[in-house]
Amino acid sequence: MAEGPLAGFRILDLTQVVSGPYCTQTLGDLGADIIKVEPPEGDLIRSVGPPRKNGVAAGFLAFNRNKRSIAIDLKNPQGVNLVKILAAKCDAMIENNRPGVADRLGIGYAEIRKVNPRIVYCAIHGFGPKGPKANDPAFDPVIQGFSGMAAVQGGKDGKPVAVRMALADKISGMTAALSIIAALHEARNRGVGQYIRVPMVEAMMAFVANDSFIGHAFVPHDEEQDRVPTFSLDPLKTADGYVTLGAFTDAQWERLTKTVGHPEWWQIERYGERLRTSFKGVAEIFAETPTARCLEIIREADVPGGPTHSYETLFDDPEVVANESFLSYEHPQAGPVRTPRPGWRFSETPAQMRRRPPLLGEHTEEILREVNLSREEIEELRRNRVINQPQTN
Amino acid sequence: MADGPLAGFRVLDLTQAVSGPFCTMMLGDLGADVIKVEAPTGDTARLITKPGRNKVGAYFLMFNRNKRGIVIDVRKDRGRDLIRRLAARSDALVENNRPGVADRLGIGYADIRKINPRIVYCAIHGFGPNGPLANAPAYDPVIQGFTGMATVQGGPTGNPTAVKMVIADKASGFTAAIGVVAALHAARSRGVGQYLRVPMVEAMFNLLANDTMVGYAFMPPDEFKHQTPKNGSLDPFRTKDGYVAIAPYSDEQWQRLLTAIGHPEWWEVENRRERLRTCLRGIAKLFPERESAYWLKKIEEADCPGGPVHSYDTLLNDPEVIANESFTVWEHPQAGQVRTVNPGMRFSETPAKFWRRPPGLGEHTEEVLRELGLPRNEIEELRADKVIN
Repeated sequence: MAEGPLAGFRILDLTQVVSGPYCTQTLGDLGADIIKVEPPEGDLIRSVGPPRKNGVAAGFLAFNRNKRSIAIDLKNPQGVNLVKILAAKCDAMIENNRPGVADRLGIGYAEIRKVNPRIVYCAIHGFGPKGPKANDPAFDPVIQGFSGMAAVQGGKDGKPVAVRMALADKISGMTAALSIIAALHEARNRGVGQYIRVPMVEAMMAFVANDSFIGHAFVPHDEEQDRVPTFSLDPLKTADGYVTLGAFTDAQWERLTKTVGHPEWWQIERYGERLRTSFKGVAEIFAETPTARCLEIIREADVPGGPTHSYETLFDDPEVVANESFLSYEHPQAGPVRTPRPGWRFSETPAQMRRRPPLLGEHTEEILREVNLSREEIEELRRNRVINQPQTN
Repeated sequence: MADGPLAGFRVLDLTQAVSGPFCTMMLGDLGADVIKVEAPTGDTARLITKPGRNKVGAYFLMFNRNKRGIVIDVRKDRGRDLIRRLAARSDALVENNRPGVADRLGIGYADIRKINPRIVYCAIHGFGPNGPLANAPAYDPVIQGFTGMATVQGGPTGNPTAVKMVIADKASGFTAAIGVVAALHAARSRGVGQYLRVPMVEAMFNLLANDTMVGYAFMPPDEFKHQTPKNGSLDPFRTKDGYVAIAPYSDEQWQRLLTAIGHPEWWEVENRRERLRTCLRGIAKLFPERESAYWLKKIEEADCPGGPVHSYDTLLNDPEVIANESFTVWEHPQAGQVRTVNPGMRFSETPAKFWRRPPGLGEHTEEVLRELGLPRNEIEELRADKVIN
């Protein structure tokens, strides 16, 4: 199998739930060897659900492909020692515990750098290091509320509304992934190891603010400027559903108004009125036209636009089918499972699904052998319940 | 000066609007030398002048810090030749034209690899390469509609609703940045140059689908699809004078919160689902009785995840944001003081930061061409022929 661009890098993953696991799944998609360290009872998200099938949580599967799992009890000093043995052989380590927890456990950056000064150590925390909330716990809704995302989604005069997914978790995970891959260049080229803190709230503000806070871009703040709307367009209603329209340039609007038989709308003198009339006119025509015909109009006019899918229709779209944008694999307990294809198409170093999400502690023995633990040592760790018992599956 | 983790890498940026510029801005934040090539008329984002000050639009400024700007007319042979010469000395090239355009101009991957076989060439396109829409144009709303984002946001019974920002553009740019930096590893360590296509729909699937399609993860999905959680993330709760966010997750956090707000009995409901519903309904009814400040104190006492719900009017003054200096204010030569949000990564050794303000149109044309080794008279001639600004 062709290797991904990060083949050869080994990452020690001490994260749970979403933000960290999404980060390391991204690194795994890109070919890095991810060693997921789980407590004996497993990543918290293994016990979340529904949906679950034969005891397997879909939420866990969503964020843990391309990883190997080792179960270690960090409350046992031998377990802490084991993490250090692994960290000594890794290029990067990532954790998303509440601030202070890793230090207390003896696996904070201060301890880990002693055994591996070149390591890139990344911590995803809720807030920045210097404010009153530096050590506060934070989950996705807290960050959506704090960062302005909920206010942006609610609109200027509406009530704040969350984006209906764990957006802050996932953006923090992506930010952590990018920062680690970048820092690995410094580590490889100049031997620089370092600590990276990714505050979720800052990752989220950096993602949300650019286009949505432009009313606040100029200092001092100008009320007039702040009224300029900044948003993406909602889908348009058709006679039997919805379509999406993203016409943007003058040429596109000219073609679209002509195609719907009203070239005169785009002849109106004042720009604002011309755009309003054209948009309103097209919306009214679409509202009385079946979706299939609206899509034809969009195609004929060669303007950006297309179907508004739900998961009921998405997987069968010829586009999605032809590109194999979703993959399926066989899980030993849950049977066939669907997962999105990694979002990069490299010509030489493919990002791909190499490994299904691991069972809890599935690779414990394999990983410990790789770091040269003897069979007897592994047996002893097992007896002392520092690691899990062998998989029977 | 740049001393981020990507210091020493040079990126040739042939993108405009949002997706590509967001990608190259991130690479610039991380210390790469980004050379932004613009047509004589400039990036289309420069045309968005509201909000703006002294004819400088905020939109362009938000996606173009940490870059140098050069103007080249690619419709002219010598303009295209200049691009190839710049590409010969770059580690990566990013473009977001409609598929086919770069090839027609003679600056597609096939042309560029001839002069620089190790280059990482990244193209951000709307759709994947194999489907009927492979060459279709795509803007953010199209991708939000196609990928299911709008339907997820609208909820199971509501109208499809877009996320009120260009999330698909930004997710694609972010994905491209990760892809380019990863591919640079293969280029450095194994000498592998390559073409990287980031289809916006697939970048968006990867951001969107993992947690929102859980009801469709097991195949066939029939018995699971109605189990998709209705609200992916909790909406803020109304108080007497505004809103607060709460996110108790573990049983302990719930119990501490309920005790702090005086209703531990809500946790006594037997069935867990019914219990959570009772708690959420109770809080929604209780919180409007008092001000946000009161509830924020209770949330803190309970050591429960939660906090204020900010608009930009209040966010910029939050002690948290001030103490961490999460935003930077800088001086634009025409527009005066401008605020920008800092990169969301805090490196101990190689900071990602604002180190170069967004360029004026063609501000660094001469500087960049000198670095390329062009003599003064050649630059003058290109200028006379209007190949450059």
